[in-house]
Amino acid sequence: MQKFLLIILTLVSTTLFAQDDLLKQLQTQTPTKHEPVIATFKGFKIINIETNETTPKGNLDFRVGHLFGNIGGASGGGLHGFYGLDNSVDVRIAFNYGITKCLTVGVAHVKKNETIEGVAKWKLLQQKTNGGSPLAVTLFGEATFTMKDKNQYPLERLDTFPHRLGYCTQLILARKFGSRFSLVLTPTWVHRNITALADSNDLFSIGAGFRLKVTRSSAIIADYFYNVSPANLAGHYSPLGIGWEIETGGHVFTIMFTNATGLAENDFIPNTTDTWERGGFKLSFNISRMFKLAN
Amino acid sequence: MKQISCILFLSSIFSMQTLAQVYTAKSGSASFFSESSIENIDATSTNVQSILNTSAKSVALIIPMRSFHFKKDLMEEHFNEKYVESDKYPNATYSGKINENLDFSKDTTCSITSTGKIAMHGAEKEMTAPGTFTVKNGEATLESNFNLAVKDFNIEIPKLLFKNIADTVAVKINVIYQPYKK
Repeated sequence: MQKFLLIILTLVSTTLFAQDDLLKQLQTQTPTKHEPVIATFKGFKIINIETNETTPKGNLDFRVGHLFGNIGGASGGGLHGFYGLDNSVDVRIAFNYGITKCLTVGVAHVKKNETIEGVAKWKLLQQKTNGGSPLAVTLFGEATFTMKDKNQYPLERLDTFPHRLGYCTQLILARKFGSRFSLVLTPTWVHRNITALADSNDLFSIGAGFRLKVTRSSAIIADYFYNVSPANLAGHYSPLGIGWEIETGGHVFTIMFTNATGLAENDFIPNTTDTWERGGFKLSFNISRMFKLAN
Repeated sequence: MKQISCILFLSSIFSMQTLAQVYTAKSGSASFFSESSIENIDATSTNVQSILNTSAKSVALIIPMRSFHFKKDLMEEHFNEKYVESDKYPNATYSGKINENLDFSKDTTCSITSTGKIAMHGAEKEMTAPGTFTVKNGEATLESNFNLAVKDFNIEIPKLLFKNIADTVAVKINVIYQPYKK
């Protein structure tokens, strides 16, 4: 009887091997691939900080960034400024184009200092799945040229071409932890060819930001810059941004608040003169549209 | 003890026999298409892995979800991130029986059916799909077209977008086989 049972069992297991274990056999011989991690962030910036994301290859991104006035009455907002909405501290109109899947270049006009801005972002290393690279490493460069009349500029020293130039270089280290949380850490070097007397031409800062997905289509976002050397001058503050991101179909709506007083990197990192403590934070929004121009 | 070793010997002969009739995918592609009033969704993978055992008449397929490529980059990102959650469920798989005999020895084209389990996005579904088996110049091709309902695989479509995304998608599979080389 036992012998009979054993034979039956073995026969059954051989047939099982033939069907179900065919899939297992296929699974073991299929090599695991390291795919690039996607959707670390939903935008090229979180609020103020650049992310590892670039414009996809062959796509042109048109973007208008708008920074309203301060919301708090103690910082010029309040009812009579309609909580900052009657003001616009800065407006940035930008075009970014993805030359390759790793390299994006862009031009922009920024209202505050009548600036023409050129940017480039290069993905050096992508985070990969299945034990690939644990980190995304991206390089960001910004160069600005102010078109202000030399008498109008508070420094009144815009007499030579180089004095009108400013730069910002960032090493963007980003990682997505699981499917909900992404972190970015950004050592930053700002250089301005001309500054106020007490200020320094070179500034080193550390930026950090995160995105935390709370539902399938919405996330909490925040970012911050800490100026390491030199520290903030008197009356200058670290820019902090906090926001709520909602993704619907082809659009990402973001409600953002920040005390930053500009939209260009080499402006708001050294020059933020508003503070959250006195209601010096503003509503900010972006409108963007992507056009696919080439494959 | 003798009996057990005898059985083991027999069963190993059985499994050797099955190995001898095994074919694997030389190349394979899969695509799906859904039509709606607002936009069509169209994606193709050229990375279909498959194994076919003619003596046991069984077939298995693996399609990595990340291998599906879309015309719009954003659509591909949403597909992976929000709909099929490919970081949690990286593959679609099928394992089933071929209900007819497959003859690799001569040029032929015949209609076949396969009954088995399709697994995707953490859900499984029993199904029978029609297909065509072709042998031409010693090369065997298996083709199959069938429809899948999105809701069978726990894939939620947000109410706001129900006009953009159809609730069934048309799937096409095409695999060219070669004898299994160890």
